[in-house]
Amino acid sequence: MNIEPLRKRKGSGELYTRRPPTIDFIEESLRWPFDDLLARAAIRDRRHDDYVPSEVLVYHLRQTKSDNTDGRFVAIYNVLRDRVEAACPRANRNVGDKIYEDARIAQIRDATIEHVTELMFKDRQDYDEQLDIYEVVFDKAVRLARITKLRKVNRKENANEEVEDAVTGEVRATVEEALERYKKAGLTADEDLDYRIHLRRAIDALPEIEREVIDLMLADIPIETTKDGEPSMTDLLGCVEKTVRNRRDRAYAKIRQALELEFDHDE
Amino acid sequence: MTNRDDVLSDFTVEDEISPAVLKTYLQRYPEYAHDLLALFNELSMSELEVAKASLPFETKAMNAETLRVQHVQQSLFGGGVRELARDLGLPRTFFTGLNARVVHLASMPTGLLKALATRLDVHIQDVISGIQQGDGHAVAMKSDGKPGDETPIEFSDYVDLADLTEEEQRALQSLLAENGSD
Repeated sequence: MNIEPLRKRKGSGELYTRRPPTIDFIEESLRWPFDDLLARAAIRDRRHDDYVPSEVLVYHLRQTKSDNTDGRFVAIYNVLRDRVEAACPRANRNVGDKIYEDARIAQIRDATIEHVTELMFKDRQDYDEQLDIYEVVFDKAVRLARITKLRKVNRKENANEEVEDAVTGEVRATVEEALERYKKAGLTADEDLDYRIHLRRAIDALPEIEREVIDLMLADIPIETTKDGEPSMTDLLGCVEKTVRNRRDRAYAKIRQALELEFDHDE
Repeated sequence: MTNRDDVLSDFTVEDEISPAVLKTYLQRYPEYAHDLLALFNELSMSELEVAKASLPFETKAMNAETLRVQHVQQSLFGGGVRELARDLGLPRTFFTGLNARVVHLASMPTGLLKALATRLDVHIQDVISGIQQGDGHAVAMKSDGKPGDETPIEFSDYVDLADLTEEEQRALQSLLAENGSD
């Protein structure tokens, strides 16, 4: 069976394309009876041999358009709805034998599920190019939808611009070394994975204005520059050099503390 | 191309989400710096979690969701249908028939699902779950067959069979035209 190409185009004009492993998987799965596909789709452990990637399920969901009944559509939708939820950060935390839900995270998760649900139903009625990205990188597409909802909530960050005690040279050196170590390996390389997860969690926990400075440092964006056409932090963030440095120093102190806590906890 | 959503979408499908790729996007689209930085952090978290294969399915937050779905069921098929029907100017049987065993769920207009979600103060997925679960009983329809024998029909056919008055048809069109978007 011929697998139709996606229709959405990048800014460069190039069509969005499914990843080669996804295409291989689709070709293989097209030989399975629908019930087999559904049975495998129910497997939730990504490490299981029979796990069906979500990108493949979105492809099959869209193929159900030609069905006269929507039983297949709804069956795959139900699985994908759970996959969207799983791709969002957890809202539940276990404390002792009790489960607590973070209302804000849950609110953003529900809004994300709603957005993707609407896309799937709209696409069923009339091809929606916005769903194409879910056939390319499902989990990341969910996170893109989530971040859009998250930014709409317009969180009031627990941050201020007050200058605190200057960080010591030792703290600065330690954190800069950590950021260099993070940058060296590709994000998904096995080597140092735990370390990079710990560091990214520490960055993620920062207030947005401080996190931005750290990620700009990772991207080798200078605080200020005189070179034409090269972006600087002061330009991108719309603030003065002193403010950037203050944010950086506050972030350094928090990252250092977070890393110590993480590794102490692991030990 | 300067559309924010397209820029973020293109960034998301990049083969690798690295600081170097982030830099090229920041150079090209400095006007979306805050969005790109927020997305970079989000995708980095996602990529690392997947790489570690440490993405267990969380225990579903059933309490809140269950309550919302129950509210949908109660409003469409239970005691709340009288009030909903009166508010929306449609017959009660119109809502009690909005059941996945009666109407093809995917043929229901997205506008209707959104409008119901807005009206009931729940999410679209809660309306869909409620419609899928129905009222737990066979639904009596305008049919000569026995309850439970019916094959689901398209929403447009369902509307035709509902024998709506002109006023009710206008109420339905008004409901479908409601903009439930955020």
